[in-house]
Parts: sequence; C-alpha cells; structure tokens
Amino acid sequence: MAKNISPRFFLEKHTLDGAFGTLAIEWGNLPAGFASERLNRENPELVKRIHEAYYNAGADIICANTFGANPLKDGRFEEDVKAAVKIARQAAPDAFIALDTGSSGVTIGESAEAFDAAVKAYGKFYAASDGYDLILIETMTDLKELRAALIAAKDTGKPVMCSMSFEENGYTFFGCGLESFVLTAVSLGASAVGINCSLGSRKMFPLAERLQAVSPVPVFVKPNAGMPKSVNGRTVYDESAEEFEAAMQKIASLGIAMLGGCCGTTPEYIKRVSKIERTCKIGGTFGSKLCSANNCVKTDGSTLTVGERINPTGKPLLKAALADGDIDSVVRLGLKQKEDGADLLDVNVGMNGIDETAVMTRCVNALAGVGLPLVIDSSNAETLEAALKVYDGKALVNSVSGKADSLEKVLPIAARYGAAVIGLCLDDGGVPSSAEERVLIAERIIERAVSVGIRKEDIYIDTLTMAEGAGRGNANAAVNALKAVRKMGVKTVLGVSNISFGMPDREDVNAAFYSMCRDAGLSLAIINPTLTNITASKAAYDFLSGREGAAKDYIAAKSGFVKTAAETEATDADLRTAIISGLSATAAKAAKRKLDECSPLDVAEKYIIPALDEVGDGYGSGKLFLPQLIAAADAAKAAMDILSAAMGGMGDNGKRFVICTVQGDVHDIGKNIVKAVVKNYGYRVIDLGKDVPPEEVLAAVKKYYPCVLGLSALMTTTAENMARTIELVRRDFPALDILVGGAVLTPSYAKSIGGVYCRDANDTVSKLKQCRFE
Amino acid sequence: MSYSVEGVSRLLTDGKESYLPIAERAVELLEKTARPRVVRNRFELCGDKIVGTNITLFGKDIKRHLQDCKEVWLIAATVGNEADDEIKRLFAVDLALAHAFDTAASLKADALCDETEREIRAEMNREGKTLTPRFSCGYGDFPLSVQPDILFALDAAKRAGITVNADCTMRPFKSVTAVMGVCERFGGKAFDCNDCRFKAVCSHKLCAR
Repeated sequence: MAKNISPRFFLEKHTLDGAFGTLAIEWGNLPAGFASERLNRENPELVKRIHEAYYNAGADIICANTFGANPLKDGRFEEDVKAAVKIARQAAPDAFIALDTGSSGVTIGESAEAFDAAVKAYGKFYAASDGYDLILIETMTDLKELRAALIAAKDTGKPVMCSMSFEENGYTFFGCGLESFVLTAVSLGASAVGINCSLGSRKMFPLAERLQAVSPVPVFVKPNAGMPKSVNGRTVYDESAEEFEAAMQKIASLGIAMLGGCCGTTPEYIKRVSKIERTCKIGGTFGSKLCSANNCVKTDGSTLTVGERINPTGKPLLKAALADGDIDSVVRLGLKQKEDGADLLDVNVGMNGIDETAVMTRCVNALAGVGLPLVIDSSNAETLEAALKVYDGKALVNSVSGKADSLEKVLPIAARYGAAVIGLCLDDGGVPSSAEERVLIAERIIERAVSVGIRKEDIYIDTLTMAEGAGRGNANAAVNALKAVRKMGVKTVLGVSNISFGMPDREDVNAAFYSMCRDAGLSLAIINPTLTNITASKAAYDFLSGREGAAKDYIAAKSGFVKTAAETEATDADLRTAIISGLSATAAKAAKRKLDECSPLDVAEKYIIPALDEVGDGYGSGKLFLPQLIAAADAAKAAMDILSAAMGGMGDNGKRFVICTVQGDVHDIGKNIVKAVVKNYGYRVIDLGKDVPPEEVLAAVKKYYPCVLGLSALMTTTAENMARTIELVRRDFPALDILVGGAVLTPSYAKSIGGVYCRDANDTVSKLKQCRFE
Repeated sequence: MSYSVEGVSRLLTDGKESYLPIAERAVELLEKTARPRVVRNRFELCGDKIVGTNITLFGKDIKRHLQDCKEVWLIAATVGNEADDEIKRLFAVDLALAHAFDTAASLKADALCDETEREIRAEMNREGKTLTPRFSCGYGDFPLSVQPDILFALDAAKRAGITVNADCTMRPFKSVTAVMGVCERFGGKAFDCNDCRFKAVCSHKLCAR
C-alpha cells in the first residue's frame, strides 16, 4: 500500500539511501558493469539486504532497485519494477519507497513522435507498480529525457523529485545549465530538485549553493563518495565517510534538508548523514524566467528584446528557404539577431504550401545551436504542441487570445509542457480600441490561464500595437493598457514596429515608440534587433536610466557599431577570383558591383557559373580539394544571395532536386555539401533533412514532380533503407532519376538498388546535368 | 592520419597537402570547443559473452580477433557534445569550416582511443600480458547492433555523456567505442583493414592506421 505524501513532506528533513551498485558488486561479488536490475529476478535476497542496510543506517527514503531498469532500453522493465518495489517495501516497511528512474543511455530523437514515444515508455514504467510512494528521477544529463520522464511522472499524480548530474562548470555532459534545469523541472511539476553523482561531496558544494539560491522548491543533494579511481580492477572512491560527513554538514548548512549518497557511498556514509541536523530553507523564487537548455533569461528586469525576423510574412527569400527545407537560413537569422542583441527569438514559420508543424520542429531543433530561449509563434495549436515537445527548456507560447476556442486549445498545451504564454488582448469582437476594454480581455485570459495551472509569472499580456497612422491614439491605447496590465502581476509584451505602418521613416517612429513602451515598463519588445535605430535607442535609453555601468555599455555599443561597419568592408577583387578563392564577403561585394553593369541572371551565367565550373574542373582533376570546393560554393552562394535580393527571390532553372539522408541515418554533412554546391547551378534544392522515412520521400516526390531525387546514406545498415526508399518510390515513378551517394556505397551497389552513383558533390553536378527532369 | 593540422590537411586532400589554413582554423577551434572524455573497464570473457553484461560478440572476425583472450577491455571515447553543437552552428555560417571541423573532430576521437589504447597496453605489459589492437562495431562482420550494450556496460551515458539511438548511432556524434582483448600471448591474427569487406570502398580512412 502506497503511503500518502503530505504537501509539507519535501520541506522536512529526509535521508535518502546510498549507492546500490557499489554494495551489490561488493556483497554479491559481481563484476563492474553488471546490470543490477537483473538482481530483482536473480537474487532478490541480496537486493533486500542492501535496502535493509540503508534503512537501518537511518535512510527514510529507500530507492527501489529500478535505476537500471529503464523503459527505453530494457524490454523486461515492467517485471523488474514490480519486483523491485515489492522487495523495497518488504525490506523497509516504514520508509518511503521511491521508484528510481535513471538515465537510459538512449538518445531520444529530435521529432515530436520520438518524444511522445519516450513519454509513453516512461508512463508504462511508472504504471508497472502502484506500490511506491514517490518518484525519483536522477542522474539525468539530457534535458529532453528529463522532460519526457517528468511529463509521464506528472500524469501519475505521485510527487516527483528529480536531479541531474553536473560537472564542476555547472553544465551536464549534454550542455544543460543548472538554472535551466531548475526552471524546466519546476515548470513541469517537480516537487523537489537536486544534484547527484558525477562529483564528490566537497566539489558539489558550490553547485549546491547555486542550486539552493535559485530553486523555488526544496533541494536535495546526493554526491558520490569522491572521485573514482581504479585499484586492482576495482573502482574505489577517494572520500572517507568522515570527509563525506563534514562536507555534507556544510551543504546542510545552506538550508538543504534532503541528503543522501550516490556512487561509492555505503551504509556507513548514510548513517553519518542521517545524524546531521538540518532545516529546509527555500532559497529562490519562481519569478518570470524563460530558458533554452543552456541559457536562462529573467524577464522581470528591464525590457528584453525578442528578435522578430524569423517570420516569412513579407519576406520572399525566407519563404523560399522554408519551402525548400533550407533550415540553415533560419539558423543564420537566429545567429545574426543574437549578435545584434536579441535576448530571445520569436519563431514563426506560418505560410501556405508547407507543413507548418514539420518545419517548425526542424527549426526549433536547429535553433538550439543558437542558444537563445525561443518564443514559439503559431496560430496552429498542433504546431505549438509539437514545438513544445521538441523544445529543450521553457519556451514562451505566442499566443492565446481571448477567443473561447483559442483559450480552450492553447492554454492546456502550455500548461502540460511547462511553457509560459502570451495572451493577446483581442477576442471574437476583434481588437478593442480602448485600453480599458483590452484590459478586460487580459483579465479573462489571466483567469483562465491560472485555472489550468499556469502561474501568473508565466503570463505575458500583449496589449497590441496598432498602427498610429491608422487611428490616432493607438500608441496611447497600447501603452495605457500595458500600464494597467502590469499591476495585475503579469508580464507584458508588444510588437513594436507595427506602430509605424504606412508612415515614412518608420525606424524613427519605431525608436520613439520603443522608448515610450520601456517607460511604461514593457517586459518584452518584439523588434528587429538588426535595425540600428532601435539598437541605438536601446543603448541610449539604458544610458539615461542611470544604471551603474550603463555609460560604459553605451560607449562600447557605439564603438561596436563602428567596428562592425569597418569589418564588413571587404577587399576589392573580381567576382571570379573571389569565388575561386572562397571569399564570401568579397564575392558578395563584387556581385553588387556587377549588378551596375548587367542583370542578375547575366551575373550568374557569365561570372558565377563559369567560376564554379572552373573550381569543379580543378577539383575533378585533383588540383583543388574538397575544402576549396566547399569554400567556393559558399562564396558563390553569398554572391547569389545578392542577386536574389536584387530580384526579390532568385528564379531557378525550373529543375527541382529533392534531397535527403535516408531513414535511420543522421549523418548529413555530405548531403549538405551537395546541396550547397548544386544550388549555385540554379537547381531548386528541396532538402527534406535527415532520418527521413521512405513514405515521406515518396510524398515529396509526388509534391515536387517532375524532379530528380538524391539520397544519402553513410552507414551499411542504412544503405538498406536507401534500397527500400528507392523501391517504394519506383513503384509510382519507374522512370525517375535517382542519384545516390555516401561513404558505404559503390557504383555497383548503387546500380543494383536502382540508383545512379555520385562520388561527391562535383560528380553530382555532372550527373544532374544528364538527368531528364521530366 | 594523426590528429594534427597536418593530419587534418592530409585527410581533406587525399593525402596530397600537408598544410591547409582551414585545417589550422578547424583544429584551433576544436581545441577550444572539445571536452574529451574516455571511459574504460576490464571484463572477463567467457566464450562469446562478456561476463556480467548483455554483450554477445557476434561475427567471425571479432572471434578470430579475440582468439586466446580470457579478458577484454571496453572503451568509449568522445570529443563531447559541444563539438556537435559547434558543427551545427558552423553548417549555417561557414560550410567549408564546418567540414574541416567535422574531419578534425573525427580524428580527435580516434586520437583519444589511440592514447587510451597505449595506456592500457602499457598496463597490460606490466602484468606480463598482451593486448590486441582495438576492434570496433562495424569492422568486418562485427555488427553495429552491439554498440548499445557496450555503452550500457560502460555506463557511458552517466560517465561520459554518450548515448545511443535505435539505429545504433551515438551522440555526441564524434564518439568511438572499441573492444581490446587481453591474453598471455597472442597467437591469432589481429583484424586489419585488409580483412574488411568494405576495404575497396571505405572512405573513412580512419581505420587505415
């Protein structure tokens, strides 16, 4: 029978048990690396003895021997869980039994479906027994896996404590930062957060201190008994029980009342820990924060910048990139905005003709490399949900409105995935013109959001910027509503640049409005950080705010502008030389100059393509090497981008090349090089990405036909998937040209599966020239 | 090819050039980015099973490679997740550098294994024993499907941050696992690239030590 855990439970003193594996290896005379969950079936008596030893040493939370019985890797976990919980209960009837969840060692894929599968597996794990009292998730290093486990745990209704393993620098192996961990875990309902494993008790102190300072919920700490050393083939740890006790005493003095041990600790260590007097203190507050896996941003200080440029509306080049699966363009926009001072990135990929959900999830995954927290912007609830599944951190959902349908669909999604949410002050009646009416809608949204479990700190109200040119008083309405909404204890957000719509010198109007909003206490400004007026206005406002160090920042920001301008000055060189030498900035500049003389198409045909051919020939004859070929492709691309911009979207040669890495394969370097080289020859390359199932390839061929298909595989195992893909596509398109490439392929294997072998990117260009495209 | 500016240059140019500026940039950047980690453990071997683990050594090639061995060392080495992130970022901004960096990271992962192999070999020699060269999943007919169990046996996720997906691909990408046999005196024939069924087409070149 499971025990009832009171709400105050985690505020009390508790002692968790120590290492299981260490004792199992010693007492059971087992080899290192032994899968200890097997003991539940093979040697239950040993499991029981270990639990009893910890219980007798003073532990009142006993972890069932399920750490290694992970649902993502082990087919027999249900049996193990049932047996383990039963044994733990028998060994320590008065203790609280925790179902112990360890990291699986399995990579959770990047798709929403892979995340769902992980949540489902953990759900089964937690449902395998009902005899435990609480859930412990520990030793996690991957925030994605922790999130999956937490969401499944939340569904059980049992209280959850969770911890990750950090290195001394405060990041896990997978680059999850301590603050991001706390914010994400608490937003997903963890009752207590902790750190365990990886470090000894002494080295864990600074991390425990940081954790205690930021956590709004009780904290627990389970260090190793020092650092491991190998002695005569056995792993031993270098902290004695006395040393461990002394260090834990220090950790307890921070106000941390739940303590235990990890690798290398024994009942002797736990006995000493159990005697340490301690009282729980809560060191942090919930506050308003958003995070990516490695970057936690507080939104309750001065106005932060949300970069608005990842949005295809009115941007033909971005539209074309999104339509063709060119996610790198999105990453470049993210990196540029970060460089220009964005604190968060808004991501909107809503446009006709694409699968918004699929493109959004690819963008969210790719933008993890930029590191800024994301604002997931879509009017489609399904897209929002998929993005929140794959997003590692705490995102901001943009948005919910006062419309009944929106409230009903969007708020529960934000709540389930622990996201914050933007509420738009509009409803079925449209956008009210008065500030008062907007505030009424805001009140309704806040009430509903709170009722589904979203904290007020996580609600951001958008009081809506309407063009001042379209109606006098629009600026004031937004600002006045903002001031009123702030008093309700929520955060605020505004899209700044709408204000100047239809007016000349929009940047000036935007900068002035930006300052008005900051004055009114705006939390998040959605703007284009790349516009110098806004950046200058931001720096000047900071300077005038009287904040310490602001003058220095202002001067630094200003000298930064000058420096950037100077750096973009490239050397003079003709377009051909620039491309052949792989100089992107120079090639772009040269292309711009050429546009004074001839049309964009002429520049491409007379200069860029011949230069690329020259490089291709040089590569083919062994005079040039792959790095030069790629650098030339990059430089040609920089020149092509200039031409595209001049034409408002570059025309292609009408020939579509659908390309991807086949299912099961996540190696995409070769595919990306082919894409870069081929694109410059005017082919429209539609990149389906990596690990693409045959059915999706077929669907793309149907959509883009007539076209040529390019498939890449790097591993012997996935070469088989390539054959399967070709077989499926061939059924509907027997005459389609299919080019294949990748490390393990040979011309004869390619032929046997019905593809044309391409040695490399250069070879692909020559093979493409022979394809029919009809 | 060794992990060095020269090694990276040679690998990028089919051995023809000993110095490329981009190789130097890639190595410099990798040295700032990489967080290398290696885990290793010694196990007893019983037939084709590694004692205490779920590992079965499938395939003729590994059996021949471990002939006469009563013990094995398992190792897993990684350049770290930060290098993966850097490759992702570089792909968007500088494809040539991304490619060179990727190549450098592969060489570095291999160099970590070389170093570990040397250390273990010295230890074994001190015990008066012999260590076979290292053998990885995917060599010859030793299937990739053994990869997860090698990582689980080493507890590599917890100790080095290496995980593996259903298709047996590791994350971080630039990670390597290997098996080395321990014997009194090696009478078998160590596996080398000439024994590999992919000899003719292999473009990894990494196994061409």
